[in-house]
Order: sequence, then C-alpha cells, then structure tokens
Amino acid sequence: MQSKPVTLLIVEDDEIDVMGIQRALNSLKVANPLVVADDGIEALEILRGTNGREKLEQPYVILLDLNMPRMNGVEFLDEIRTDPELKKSIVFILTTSESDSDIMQAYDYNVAGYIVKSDARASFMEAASLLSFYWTIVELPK
Amino acid sequence: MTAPEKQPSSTKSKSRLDSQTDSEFLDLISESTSFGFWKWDIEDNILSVSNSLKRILPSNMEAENLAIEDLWACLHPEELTEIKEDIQRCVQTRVLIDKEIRVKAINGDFYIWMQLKCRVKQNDDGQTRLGGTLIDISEAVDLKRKLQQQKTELRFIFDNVPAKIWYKDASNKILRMNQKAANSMGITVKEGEGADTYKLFPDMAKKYHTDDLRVIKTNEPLRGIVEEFIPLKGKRAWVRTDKFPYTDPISQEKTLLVMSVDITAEKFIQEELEQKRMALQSYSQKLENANKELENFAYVASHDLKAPLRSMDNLAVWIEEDLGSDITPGTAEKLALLRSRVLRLEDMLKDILAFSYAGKNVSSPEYLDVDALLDEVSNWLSPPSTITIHRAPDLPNVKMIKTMMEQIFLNLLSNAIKHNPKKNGTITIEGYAVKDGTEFIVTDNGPGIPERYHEYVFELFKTLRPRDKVAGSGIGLAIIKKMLDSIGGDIWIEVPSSGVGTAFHFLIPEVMLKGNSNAK
Repeated sequence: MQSKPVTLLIVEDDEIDVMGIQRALNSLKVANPLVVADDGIEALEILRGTNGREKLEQPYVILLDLNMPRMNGVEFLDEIRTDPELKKSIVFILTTSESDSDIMQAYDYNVAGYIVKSDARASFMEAASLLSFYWTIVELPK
Repeated sequence: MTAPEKQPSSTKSKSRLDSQTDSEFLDLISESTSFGFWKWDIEDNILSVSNSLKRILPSNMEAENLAIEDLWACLHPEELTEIKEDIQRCVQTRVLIDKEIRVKAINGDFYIWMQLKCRVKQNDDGQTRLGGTLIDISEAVDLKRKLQQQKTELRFIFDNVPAKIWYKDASNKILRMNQKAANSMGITVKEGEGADTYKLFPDMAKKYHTDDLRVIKTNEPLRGIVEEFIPLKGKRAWVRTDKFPYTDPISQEKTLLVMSVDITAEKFIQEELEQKRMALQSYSQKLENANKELENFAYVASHDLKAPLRSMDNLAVWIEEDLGSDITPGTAEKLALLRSRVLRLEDMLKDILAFSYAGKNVSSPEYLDVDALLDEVSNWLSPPSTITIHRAPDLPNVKMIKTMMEQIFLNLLSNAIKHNPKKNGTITIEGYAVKDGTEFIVTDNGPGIPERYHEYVFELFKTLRPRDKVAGSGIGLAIIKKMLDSIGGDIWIEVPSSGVGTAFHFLIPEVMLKGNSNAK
C-alpha cells in the first residue's frame, strides 16, 4: 500500500471530458487528488514545478489526451521520455483516435495503456475503474 | 635524233595534196561524220558540194551543174531571206558566218538542223569564192531543246513546291532560290540570286550561316530546324527547315540546299494547344486538390464534430442524473429528444464518412457466385415473415468487388423490406447479361416511388419518409450510386411492368474502371 495517495494528472483540453472523468471517479467513490492540465505545456509546468506552478511529486499517474492545442500528447510523451526525472512516469492514453499509427506511436513511448473513448460515458467509467484498481495494486515509481 | 634530216624544197612540194586527192580525203572523213563542204564561185555562180553533203541533202543536189539557187531550194523558207542577207553581208564585209539553220533532208519530208559556216576568199586568180561547211547538228539541237524543256520543267517544279528553297554556298550567299522564297522575302528571284544572306536577313543570317557551315562540314543533313524567319522586307514567320549538303558534280564546290516550310499557323495552334493543355492540367490539379480537401473535410467533419456531440450527449445525461427525482416529465422528454437528435447527427456524420469513402480503397474485383452472395446477405437481413424474396434461377455471376456487391444488395434489400408494410411483401431479384455488362433488377411490390423522385432518392440524405417514422439517414442509395459511378456502372429506377412497387436496376460494367480503386 502507498503511504501517500496517488495523484491523477489529467492532460485534456475538453473540460466536459474532464468533467466526465471526475463524475466517473466520484461515482466510484475514488477520492484521490486530481490535477488538470489543458495541454502538454501546462502538464510539463506542473511536473517540473515551473512557471509558478507547484511541482507535482510522485506518486502520480498521467491520463493523456492526444489531440490538444499548443503541445499535443505525442509531443508531450517525447518531452517526458527524454527527461531523466520524468521518463519513468506512468502514462495512460485516453483519446478518440482509433488510428493504428497513433496507437503504435503511443506504445513506442512506453505508455501503460491506450484507451479509446468510443462510447463516452462508458469509457470514462471504465477508465476510472481501471485507474483506481491500477494504483491500488501496482507499485508506482517513487 | 636518229630521224633523217628533212630536205626542204623537193619534199615540201610532194607532201602537198593535190586538189583531187584533197577532196577525196575530206570526203572520206566527212562520210563518217555528218558534215560536208561546199563552195560557191560567186562570179560564175557555180556551186560545188562534197559527196558527204549530197548524201544528206535532197536529190536536186545530185545534179552536175549546181548554182547557189539549188542551195536556196534546200533551205527552210522562214530562214531563207535572212540567210541570203547574211551571205550578202559575208561577201561584202568578209565576216565569218556561223548560223544554225534548217535544211531539207534527203527525202524532202523534214528539215534537219545544221550549222552553216562560211567565209569569202579571194583566190590568186582574182576569183571571189565563198567556202563553207555544213554540219548536221540535229542531235545537239535536240539535246539542247530537251535540256531547255527540262530546265523549264524543273524551274516550274522548283517554283511551285510548297516550300521556300535556296541553294547557298559556304559564304552564306544565295546561288539560286525559288519563287516562293523570293515572295516570302519581298524581292524577286533575280534580286535574290547572288545576294548575301547577311544583307537579306540581318537578324537571322548568323544563325542560318552557323547551321549551313555545320551541314557543309559534317556532310550530313540537318532536318527539322524550327526557327524564326525574319527577312529584311518580307513578313516574319516561323519555319521548319531542312538543310542538305550538296557538292556540285562539276566544280566540286560544297554548297547546300535549304528547304523551309512555313509553320506559323502550326506553331500558333501548337502554342494554343500547349496553353490549353496547361490550363487543363491546372484544372485537373485544382479538381484533385478540391477532392482531397472535400475528403479531408468529410474526415474532419465526422471525427472532430463527433467530440462536441458526445459532450452534448454527456451533458444531457448528467443534467438528468443531477436532477434525479426532481425532474419533470416535460424536462425528461425534452432531454430525450435532445439526445435523439444528437444521435441522429452522429449517425449522419458517420454516413458522411462512409459516403466519402464509398468506392475508394476497395479490394480487387473477383469472380462472384451471386447466388452464394445473396444467401449470405439474406442471412444478415433475416427478413420478417411478411416478406418473401424470389430469386430468378440462373442468376449470372459477375466479376466485381465483393464488398461493393454485398453492400449494393444489402442496401436495396433492406430498403425494400423496410419500406414495405404489406402482409404479402415480395422482392424479386433478376439478372441479365446486357451489352455493356450485367444488369441486375431488384423489384418490390411496396408503395413505389413517384417518377419525379426517381433521381432525387439517389442524392445524399434524401429520403421520402419522415426520419422519426422510418430509420435511415438517406445515405444508402447515395453510397451505392457513388460506388457504381466509381467503377463505371450505373443505378436507376423503373416502374415494374405490373405498375406496382419499385424496380431498382443496376449495371455492373464488363470492364471496371480502376480510377479510384487504390485512392485513399
């Protein structure tokens, strides 16, 4: 068991999708802390504690959308995988894209899982339950 | 120097031929050569002619005592006066007479051309004599005439071939040219022949000369030179020129023959054609871009528009959840309607994507067992018990893209089932080999489609019944039509011979277009 609760960093530009994930977590009674970044740049600032942001310390899990303004999901993955401190981060992809090339590219960056938002509400619920199980069972990087 | 020394006085007198031997000797020569001698003692009017001449001239010359009048009788009447005058002049001024005249031939039927030469001589005895030769030149005259004839004919051809022609020497000088060349240069043939090209074509001469020298140097023709023709006086034009090396057979001078054909009109057409080709290319590029844009648009529309739609659906559900038991029936109904419209819009977006992909990215055509394919399609549809599907025996098999064929039958059959409320609904499937391929007919006994809608129903999102009553976005027929268009086929509606229901006819072409088969 973790001594410190796992923080979920949601990197998603659609606030309704964020709301969907929050509602799903609420309905599952998951009370872990939540941090939301609108895009890759903001997420990096949170992870590195730059631009006046409070640095997010481990343990955390990142739920990443692919299509975002400024810095998209793949660019964000490229950034953290080359950052010695951030490269061990656990990342799940939650996106509408079903394209094979997106899926393969994401796994090239060693993501923990690729979830397609096919049916929105069900997908949020499934993603939320997966995450809540995941961090209770899996030992996360410290 | 072993020869004995000549003895001047005695041998000299002996070596001289006496007049008798002289005459015989000359006769001997003239016999083999068609010429003869004659002399006229003017004072006595005695005419003597050599034997060789007697053989050529008419028989009156055979007589013993000939006078000059006998010669006159042999001459052509047209020339007689002139010859008499000439001889008169000859006697008076002692000039040499050299004339080509016509003399009556031996049988008197025709004249032969002879060269008359004569000269007056005063003998030691004071007698004035006129001595001369007559040479048969009929062959030479004949040749000369033929040559003249040929020359005229050649000039005629030379001037009338549809090309400008020049003979030029290595120094860019025009040796000869035809009328057409002269006309195009605004000068006469006479002015041009012997003239310097540098003077007549100041702008182009250097280029022409360079090509000339190449032809002369390599001794190889240069063909199809397309160049500008800019004469000093004539009209500018475009020409196609051939240049051939020519060595004068007598002088061995290296010259060249230049032939130019006016291609101004051709060039103009060619340029116009090129412009049209470029325009066409640009149009087709634009069309291709527009198609790509449209495809891209369809993709964006169906993918990116889906996200906000889903959000709307989510929000409707969350409102419902948040209200919980406080919700009024009216609110619940409106939320449900909101969600159903969101779903319909989502379906339509899916259809747009399906339509934009229709006929694209398909597999290769294969030989299909149409009966087996219809078995499969009927299985998927599982028609209700109120519908009977009749299949004509011996349906023709076709070479066709399998997924396309499945989708066509699936759509037509499901439409026929969906829109047929009758208790005894029937659907008939027939197929025939026709001129351009294979035609299939799917006929139902449903409500039928008024003729004014026969084309309308193939348009995107067109349906004849309210969407809330019958499911369907009106995309199926549009997709089928687009698919068939993409392979060069066709689909159309006819009223069945029974007058009841609808007959969908579609044509699978014998040879399928491949234009779109590998486009993405």
